[in-house]
Amino acid sequence: MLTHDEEMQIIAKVLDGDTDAFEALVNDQKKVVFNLALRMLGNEEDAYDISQDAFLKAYTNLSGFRGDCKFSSWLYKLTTNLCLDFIRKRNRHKVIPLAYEDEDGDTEYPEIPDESFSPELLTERKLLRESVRKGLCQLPLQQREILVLREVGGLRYDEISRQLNIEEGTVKSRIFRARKKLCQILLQDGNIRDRLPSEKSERGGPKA
Amino acid sequence: MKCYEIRERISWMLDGELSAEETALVTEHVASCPECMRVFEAFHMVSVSMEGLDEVPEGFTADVMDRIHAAAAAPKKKNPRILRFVASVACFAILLLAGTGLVLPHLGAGLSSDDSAEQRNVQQSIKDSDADTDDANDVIYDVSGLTDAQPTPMPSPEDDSSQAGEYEEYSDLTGSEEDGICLNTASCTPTPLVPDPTWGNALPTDVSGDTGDLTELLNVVEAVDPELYVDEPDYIVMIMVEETETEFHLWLEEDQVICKNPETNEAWIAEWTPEQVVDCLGPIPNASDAVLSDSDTTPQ
Repeated sequence: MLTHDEEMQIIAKVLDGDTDAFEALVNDQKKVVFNLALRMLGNEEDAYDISQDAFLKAYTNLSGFRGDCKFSSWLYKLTTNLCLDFIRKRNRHKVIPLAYEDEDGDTEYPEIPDESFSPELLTERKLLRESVRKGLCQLPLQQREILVLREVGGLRYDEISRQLNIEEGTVKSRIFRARKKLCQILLQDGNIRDRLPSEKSERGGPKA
Repeated sequence: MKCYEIRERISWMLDGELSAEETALVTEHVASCPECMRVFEAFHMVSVSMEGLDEVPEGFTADVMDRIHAAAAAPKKKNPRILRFVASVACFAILLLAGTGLVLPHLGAGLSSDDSAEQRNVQQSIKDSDADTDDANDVIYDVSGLTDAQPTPMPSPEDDSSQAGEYEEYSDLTGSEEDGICLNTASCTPTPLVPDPTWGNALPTDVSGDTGDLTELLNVVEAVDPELYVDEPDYIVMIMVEETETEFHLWLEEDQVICKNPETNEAWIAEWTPEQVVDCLGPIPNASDAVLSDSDTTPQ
């Protein structure tokens, strides 16, 4: 991976007019960007298109990048933004499912999962991975976004805080709730139930 | 520490964001608490599952660079979103521009039917970025110099147009945020940024000649999932709702307007059409991918 300095040098070149120099940034980041989109959108075709859009948008908006954070952080947030836009447009004509309340009393809206998964269940790990991805698509958008930025993008809490413009405390709790929710979703998946440790009540358990 | 406190910290620990002392505490607890151990294993498993990255399909970089070269070669479009406020502009209501944090001057009373004509003048001046009568007094907000395919070079120090997003760059304006920002023009006096009771009754003229009420934005046609609208809105407007200045976010879609109250986290399809919004509030301030041609900025 390129260092921050290397990134800034390349960016300077591109802004100077050397369009080809941008290719180094693409090659450096394409794997993460593609996987961010893949986790957000749930299928390869859309992920391919949107991650391309992300690089294009990064290129055209390059002068807006001030270099006070890592280029990758900025790029990843740009990517998830495009994913959110895309999901919103995709869902425009879908029936909004009924809201429900989770145990924290928060209103949650189940996201209709994309049905293009067809897991070839060859190995247990693969099964697990596919189930986790499917489960991700059922997470509410905000939780999905933050978990993906953390786990796939590898952003630290302070970077996420900055990119999403929220307090670090909010970052912590949102990620925690995202993980909890994802585990709950996975528990409902019969394939996983036996393999996944279950979480009982989290307040005042027997050892509290 | 209670179990629920431990479990939060398991999440932080997996992200490497827990202090050494707390990590030791958590580890010790988990070792002897089967419930928390299960949580740890579950969270850990999820993390590990997300670790593997898929390979990017072949040809990705080539495709991207093709598109970028095509974009770089495309002819430059004149940026339709340069908002120029000339000295002759009198009172004009509202607007926090989304993304820029820029507060357009609240130059006094809200719109009356006279002022809607003024507003059209402003709209017109948005289009006539060549009409350069008052250069010294013009404050040019290049709120989105980013629609060009070619990346624009960083602004030079003497360039007073600001990059989108930095509120503090408007230091050349008189007044502070508390005073209310005002254009540095002779014909305008700084006014405090206080809610104007007539805001809620702003009367723009839409294309059909009917007057619309900005508060119609609050009429709910149909509720929508607020989770779908968490990114940057196209507009942020302040509307007086029962004597309280309330912030609303707007997203313009192909044939509907989505309004969201960020405080209550409710979102809905609003009664206005996108055209009505653009008529009233001007083109989307910071759209890098919305395409509003010049003709859209001039209401009839």
